[in-house]
Amino acid sequence: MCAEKIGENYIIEMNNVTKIFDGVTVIDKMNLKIKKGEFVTILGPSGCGKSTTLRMIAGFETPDSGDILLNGSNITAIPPYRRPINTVFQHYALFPNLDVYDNVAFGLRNKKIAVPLKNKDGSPMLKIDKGLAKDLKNQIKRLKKDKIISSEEKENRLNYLYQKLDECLSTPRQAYKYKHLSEEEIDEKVVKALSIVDLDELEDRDISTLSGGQQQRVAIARAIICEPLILLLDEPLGALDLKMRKDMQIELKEMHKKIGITFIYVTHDQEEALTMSDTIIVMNDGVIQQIGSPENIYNEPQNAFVADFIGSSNIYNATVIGDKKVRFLNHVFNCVDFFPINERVDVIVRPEDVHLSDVPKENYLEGKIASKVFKGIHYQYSIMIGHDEVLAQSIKDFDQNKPLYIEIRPDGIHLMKKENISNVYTDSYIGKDHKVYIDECPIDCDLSKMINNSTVDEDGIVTYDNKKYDFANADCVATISPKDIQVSDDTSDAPIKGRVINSVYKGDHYLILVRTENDEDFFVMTPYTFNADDIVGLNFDKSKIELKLKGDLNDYEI
Amino acid sequence: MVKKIFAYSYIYIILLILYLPILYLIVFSFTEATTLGSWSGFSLQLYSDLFKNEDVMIALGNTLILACLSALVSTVIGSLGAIGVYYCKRGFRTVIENINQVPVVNAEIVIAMSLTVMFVFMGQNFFGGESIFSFWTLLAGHCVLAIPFVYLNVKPKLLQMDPALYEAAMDLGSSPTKAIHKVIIPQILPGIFSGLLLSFTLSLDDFIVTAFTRGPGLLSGAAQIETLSTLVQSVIKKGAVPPELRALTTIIFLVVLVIVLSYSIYINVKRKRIAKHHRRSLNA
Repeated sequence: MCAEKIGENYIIEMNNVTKIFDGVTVIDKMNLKIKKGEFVTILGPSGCGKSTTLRMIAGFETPDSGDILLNGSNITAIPPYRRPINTVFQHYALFPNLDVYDNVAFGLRNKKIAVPLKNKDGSPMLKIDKGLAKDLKNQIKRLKKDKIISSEEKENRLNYLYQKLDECLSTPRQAYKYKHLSEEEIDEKVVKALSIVDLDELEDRDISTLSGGQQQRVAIARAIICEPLILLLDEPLGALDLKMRKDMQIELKEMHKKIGITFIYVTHDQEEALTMSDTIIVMNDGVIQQIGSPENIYNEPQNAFVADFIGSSNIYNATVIGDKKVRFLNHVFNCVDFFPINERVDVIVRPEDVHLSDVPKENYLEGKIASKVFKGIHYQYSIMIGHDEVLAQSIKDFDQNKPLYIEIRPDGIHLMKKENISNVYTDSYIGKDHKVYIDECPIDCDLSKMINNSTVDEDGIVTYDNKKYDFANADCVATISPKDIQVSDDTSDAPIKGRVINSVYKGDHYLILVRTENDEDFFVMTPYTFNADDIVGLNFDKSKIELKLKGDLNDYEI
Repeated sequence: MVKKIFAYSYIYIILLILYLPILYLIVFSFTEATTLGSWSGFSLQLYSDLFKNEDVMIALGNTLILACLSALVSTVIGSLGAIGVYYCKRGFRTVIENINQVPVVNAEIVIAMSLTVMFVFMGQNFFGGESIFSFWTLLAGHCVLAIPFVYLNVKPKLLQMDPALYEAAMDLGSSPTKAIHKVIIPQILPGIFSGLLLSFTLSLDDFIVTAFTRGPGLLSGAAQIETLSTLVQSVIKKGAVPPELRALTTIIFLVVLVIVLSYSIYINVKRKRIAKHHRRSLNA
């Protein structure tokens, strides 16, 4: 391994890591730093790339571009069996042919201890480090295949690696001999690991005779026994029942404190993440959305996706109308976040921050109870304020048939910068049939939108200022607002079909992201609810598609 | 009740039809009478004749050597192939699986003919015009026959296995070779074993491929290799079936029966032991 010490406390660094499976970018230029000794959770919906991230750290997947550093050394080209990292697998992956003891001892029996070699006169024996040279060669091989970084950067980095390789091949270093652990040493460690996970008396049991929780513990013991620098956990509690899961959460957290190594935990369960983590990384669609402490992620979500994914929340479109004043629900609220005036923002209000009263008070808005659900400790109310729905919680039992009054105080209102949610297709073009092709699908658009104040005839020839233009084969940029796309379950006559990636509720409508087979994304507003992975058809309001010509207008004059 | 009686008698009738000929064979192997179907009193003469008949003994030796070697080779190739294909990408896996299906359903005569044509072609072009028919071509022929069946026996065991086991072994410091050896192979061992048995029996009674691919060698020396099936065929071409063969086939049947029975008893006992252990742990 190369010793490019950075001198910081990061145990894992991922630099511009990209992973592509069969042409689909699963991880997109990910940058991530994880501090030594932390309990880090990667949280996201299924298919967001969190497991792939974990598998790249473990070494089961190699990134197509970018580097992974462990303690500052590049481990990207090192195979999993030579990384000081161990994994607790989702379904434990215990070896059914071995008993509990042998499962736990498996890693130790593979482990070899480096003993420095000495010459006869007692001086350290020096040899060329062939292992290091091989790693460097692997790195060079990987870098040459990288199609994502610029050729200039590639050249620079290749030169650097060649230089290191020359240096490695010309300077002999301390040589080592590798020794297996003795059975006594192994026994001592196995007993200790089994006592950490409270399985002392089960060492000669067959794996198939263990309960789910016991198997879970064996999997953890097996992973921590080699004293890895990092323990990776891939949704390890998913197969346990609720009660057991809660117990294991606390136990894992305690184990983390006790053994003090870095834990990287992958889950889609937001509650689990909030309970256990020091740091949460929220991912969606191969991109990190936010990194922060549980409090930070919950109270200050950076965008609507994070807010919606973590806890239940009310999200609204809002406009900043003054200094720390924001308008939504047809009402002006004071808030604590500063945003420039007239900026469109997303507002998030947690249900517990909505104060309720059954008598009108100053600053309270009147609403109607649409539904009431008893949740054990509290009631959950859905209240209609005009057309908008507000989720609220209260321990009080309000009469469903009477008006209810709500107040949202400034510290309960969190403003988020609005994501750019207009649909822009930079690689659309106009075909010979004078239709606009978006995502390879022909759409009959109004071509006069190409030039202001122009007209278009039946054959698709545009007239402007007494000049005629034929835009056949022209490249253009098409833009359409999410509210001008209709989405439906009926895919039969829709020009474009796609899969729902996610859906965020915004008070009176959903903003859903639809991805087509060709990997184009469409943001769509709809009053109806769709689930992730639903196949839907998209219809366009053709007159609302804005077009802009790429290149020079004069090229198309006829 | 009536339904039950019918169901049972149906099974017993089928079993009887299946095993009646073998029963006849076993009974008539213990008599000296040369004409089939006549009983001239109990005797072990056929068995003692059998071990004195040199042709039969040579053929038996050839058959066993060939069956053992071809079973071994095809089990190794077929099992490793199955593991490799299992960890391949899906598209490639489907292609290989379909290719593997062809020899299974293909008529054996086609395999035999194509092997002959290939060996003749190879002999003429790569071995200076000499015939390459020998024990090795025969072995190759039997392996070609058996490998698809080994693959089919190992594949279900791989599918039952947790695919993450291989990665778990690597995660715990095993190199890929060691991971296969220590984790994958023990998991699919029953499949490998039944593949071995199947390829052994396939080779044991194969006639068509043997007749087309054999050459001189093994215990037959400079003459064409005779296996039991080719020997029987050449003998009955000349006249009646020699009575010793009744004894031989009885022995073969009993050996195979013992192997199959002891294997299934072993599996049953093992399963019961695990179940018992499981119950005990649940009670505890």
